[in-house]
Amino acid sequence: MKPRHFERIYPYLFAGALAVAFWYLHVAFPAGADILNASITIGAILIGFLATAKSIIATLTTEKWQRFKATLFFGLLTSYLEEAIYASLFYCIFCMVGYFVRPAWYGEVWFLLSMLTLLTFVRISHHLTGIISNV
Amino acid sequence: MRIELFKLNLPRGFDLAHRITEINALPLARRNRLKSGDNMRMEYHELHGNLWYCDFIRLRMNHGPSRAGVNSAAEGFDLGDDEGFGEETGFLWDASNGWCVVQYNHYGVRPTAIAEYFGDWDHQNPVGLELQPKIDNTVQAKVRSKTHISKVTVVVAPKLMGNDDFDIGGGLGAATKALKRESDADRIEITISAKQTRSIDVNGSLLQRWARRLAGTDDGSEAAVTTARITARTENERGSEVLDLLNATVTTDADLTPGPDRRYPRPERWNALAVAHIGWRDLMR
Repeated sequence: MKPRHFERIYPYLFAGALAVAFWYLHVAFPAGADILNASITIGAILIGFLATAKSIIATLTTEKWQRFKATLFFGLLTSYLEEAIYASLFYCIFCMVGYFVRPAWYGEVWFLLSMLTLLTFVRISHHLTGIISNV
Repeated sequence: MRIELFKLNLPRGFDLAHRITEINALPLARRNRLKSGDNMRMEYHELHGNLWYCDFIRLRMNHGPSRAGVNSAAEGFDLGDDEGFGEETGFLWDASNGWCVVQYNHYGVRPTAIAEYFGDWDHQNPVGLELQPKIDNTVQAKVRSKTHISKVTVVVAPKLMGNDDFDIGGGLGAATKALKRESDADRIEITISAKQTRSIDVNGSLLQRWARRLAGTDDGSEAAVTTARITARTENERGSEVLDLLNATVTTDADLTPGPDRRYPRPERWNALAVAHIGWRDLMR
């Protein structure tokens, strides 16, 4: 597998694997709304961070950055950023739905989305740090 | 007058002879095309067998020379608003083999401009013409004979992260790491020069071979040597000569006598092109 292909799918791959482990271990989803409150707060913080990162890269003007923008890697960077933002957004919405209804599989899907949000965020923040410190 | 040899690459189906005839049939005013802010045009044309002789001019509208004498002060020329200095450039195209012999005029029309002029003449239907300079292979023998090298200049274009790396499956992680290694400079020039009367202990032939091996495509996909020059002389020579180790082109100097108006007359320039054309017949392959 080529490095880019692995980079593209690893958050989904690991999130899926961890969700399966969560289901296999029959971990009970906590009752009450505290965990949903905490989840929405974390999701909102991540969205805020990613939106800020987006505006930071929009203001970069160095020659190295201009060269980078002209390559296909820039499209890859924006797609990772979008994936992370949408994962966080979807995570928040899913948690809000949990206030009203919680089917039997809710805990497993919540865990899957938690891992996906975390891993897509780790991926983009790692690359953004590399870019901001090198251009 | 310096003369250079070029191979003309024509796109399939393009008839240059027809294009030259078509342009030549127009009045001067309609032949002008703008190039770098000045008008240029094919001024005159004659056909001798397979040889198409053309004369181009660049109408230089910015600053130019004055008229001055030993006993008279410098004064300007009386030029109209639509007049400038006509920089002339002779051009010879051998239709039998596609080679061109072109006069070099620093202020005049350059070969790339000639190719663009013919290729883009029909704005609706532009075609890509290319005048490719002939590389001088004899420079290798010259390099070997020059034992005293006083200066070496090498220009390197560093490798840049690009779409080639993306195509082979490179990830964003590798790209951001490569950004760290990239320099802000597009070109890195290294010059090594010796003190007067001394020379650098370097083998010119080896240097040339090394430079040619590292001369890449210059598109940033790999680090590449883009220029390699030495300033050198033989044991018995007094003056040094600059030799381009990568892109030495075939040129010759014709000794022409300027006319009373201090211009090289067109027949003399064209004759020099014809002489160079005969002399370079063996190189036209």
